[in-house]
Amino acid sequence: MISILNRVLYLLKMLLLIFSFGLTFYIILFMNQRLNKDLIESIPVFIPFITLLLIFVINIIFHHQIIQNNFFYNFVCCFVFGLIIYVCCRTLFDPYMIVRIRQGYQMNFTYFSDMMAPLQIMLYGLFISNILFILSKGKEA
Amino acid sequence: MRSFLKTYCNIMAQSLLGIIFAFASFYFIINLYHQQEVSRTYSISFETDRITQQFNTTLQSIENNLTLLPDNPTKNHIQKCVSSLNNQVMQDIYSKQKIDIRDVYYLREAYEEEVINQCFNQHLTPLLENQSESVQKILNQEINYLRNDTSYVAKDLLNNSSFYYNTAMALTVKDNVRDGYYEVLSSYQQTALILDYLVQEEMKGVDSSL
Repeated sequence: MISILNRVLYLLKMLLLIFSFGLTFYIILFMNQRLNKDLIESIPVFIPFITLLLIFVINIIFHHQIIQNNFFYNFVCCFVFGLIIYVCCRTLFDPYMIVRIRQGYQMNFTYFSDMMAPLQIMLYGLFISNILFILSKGKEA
Repeated sequence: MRSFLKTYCNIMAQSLLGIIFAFASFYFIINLYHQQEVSRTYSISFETDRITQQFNTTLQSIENNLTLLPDNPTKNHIQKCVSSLNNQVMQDIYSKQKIDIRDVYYLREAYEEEVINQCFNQHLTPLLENQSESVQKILNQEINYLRNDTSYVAKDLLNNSSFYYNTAMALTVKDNVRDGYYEVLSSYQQTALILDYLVQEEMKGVDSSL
């Protein structure tokens, strides 16, 4: 049972990562358009997503069993990506946040930028823990 | 040594995951709570609410007294101020059974745009010139106070994106929907009282001329 759930979470985390990255990219793109900023200036926001995506691809290519069979890691990944999607949805659709009405952009950039900083730290944390798990297994991984 | 480092890496990775899980849980719960907080409504019956009734009675009294005044620029100015107070946002709120944070925000915005910018700046300023110096001073003080009276409500409302907005502990002291509504309404009521005073002064002038 747990192995099936683990397998589901392992696949789900890839989907959720891509979906959360897409939503973040959309909001950042919209924000940059409004502020007349170049997208290159926002690259630091995307770095944790890209590094995580790369490490997940490496996990798949090298069949890192320690990651594939780690229920807690897969669960935390899904939880964090789910949280990012939730934050993005609130940024786009929560009608009760007054800044959204005040700014008139149909998006609450203030809330998004407030929430993005801790979420990025969590993404870096997931990347580092993935590396540490691989190192803890060494060649056996 | 190598085995120790591997174990150390594993412990570090597990600990890091634990910390991330704790932080993610915190942000998830606080967001759920915040979402519930900002969508909080306040049930109100405008027909029986005492403060709303007081405001409506004052407006009604001004309108009744205005009908007794002859047509002149003063009557015109006061009529325009009364229609600013009885604005569309206020009318829309009366048709609701529950108000939320957006209604308070729109009501305050309407106060700033229609009452402060139009009534105070365009209509009340010429009316005050007819008053005695001491009355003019008091009314000017009151108007200047009313100009900024709801500014802190606006700051509170604009700050509602922050997750520390309206915590349960703060709610026992202040609920931004309920208290925000009454705070903005009290500014409307104060303005209505100034207008009521001006109408009564005008009526005294008419009575004495007869």
